[in-house]
Amino acid sequence: MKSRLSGAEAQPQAGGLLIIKQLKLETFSVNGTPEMIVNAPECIYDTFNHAASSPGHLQLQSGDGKIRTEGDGFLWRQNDSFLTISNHVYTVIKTSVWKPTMP
Amino acid sequence: MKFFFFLFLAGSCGLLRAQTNSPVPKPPEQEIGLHSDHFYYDGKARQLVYYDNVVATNSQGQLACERLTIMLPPEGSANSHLTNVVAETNVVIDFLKNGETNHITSDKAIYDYGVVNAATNETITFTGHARGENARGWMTGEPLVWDNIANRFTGTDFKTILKVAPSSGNGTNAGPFDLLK
Repeated sequence: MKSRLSGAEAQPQAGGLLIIKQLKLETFSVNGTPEMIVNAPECIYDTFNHAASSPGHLQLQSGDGKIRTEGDGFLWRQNDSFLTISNHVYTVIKTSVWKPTMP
Repeated sequence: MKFFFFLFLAGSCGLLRAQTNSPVPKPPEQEIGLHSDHFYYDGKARQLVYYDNVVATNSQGQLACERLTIMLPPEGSANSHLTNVVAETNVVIDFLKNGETNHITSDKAIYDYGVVNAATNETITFTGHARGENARGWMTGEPLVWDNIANRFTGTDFKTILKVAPSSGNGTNAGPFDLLK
C-alpha cells in the first residue's frame, strides 16, 4: 500500500464524488514507514480519477514530524502522488543548529 | 560562517556529518519558518517545491527566492541526509555573524551533499551574478562556491573579484576569501 485515504464520514454525490469530513491522507515508503500525513476538515474525493480537493485548509506533516506545512486550497492526485497547495503556504522545519567542526 | 539556510535544511533530515571518529552529541534543535505563495509535493520525483515569494527565516538570518526545491532522499534510503536543495531566481541571503550583517545574492544557489570513497563533499554553489558582501568588502564569482568541509569560499572563475573597503583594517594581507568566513 502506497497511500491510504480515510475520513470520519463520507457522503456519496453524483458522478462518483464523495464529500469526506475529517480527511486523513497517509503515504508510506516501501518499508511501510509513514512519509506524509495530511489532515483537512473537508474535501471532495473523485472516485473515478482518484483525486481529492478542497478550497479549505490543509495541514501536512512529514512522517518523522520534522516538516509541518499548512495552507489553503489543495489538490491530491493519488495516481501520481502529487499534492498541490494553492495559497498561503507556511512551513515549519525542525532542524539541528548547524555548527561546523574542522577536522 | 555558521549560518546557511541550506545547511540547516540539510541537517533536518539526518546526519550532519557522515564521517566521525567519536560519538557526536545530539545538537540542539531550532525551527525554520518558511512562507511561500504556493507549494507542491511530487511523490514520484520525490520533490518538495515552494514557489513564489519564498521567504525562510530562523534566528540568525533570512533566505528569499522565488522557488525552493528540496530533493528528498531515495525511497528506502538508509541515509536520510538531503543531497540536493536548490534556490532559484533572485536568491538573497542575509545573516548575522559576530554582529556583522552579511548579504549574499545570486540567481541560483545549489546545495550538494555526497559521500564518495569515504570522503564527504558538501558545497553550496552560487551562480548567476553571485555576490557576497559585508561591511569589509565584497566578492563576486561565477560561480562562488562555499565548501562546508573546508569551511571556506572559493571562486572558480577568473571573474572573481575582491575589493576591501579602506576602513576594513584588513590591509593588503587579507586573504581574498577571508571575507564572510
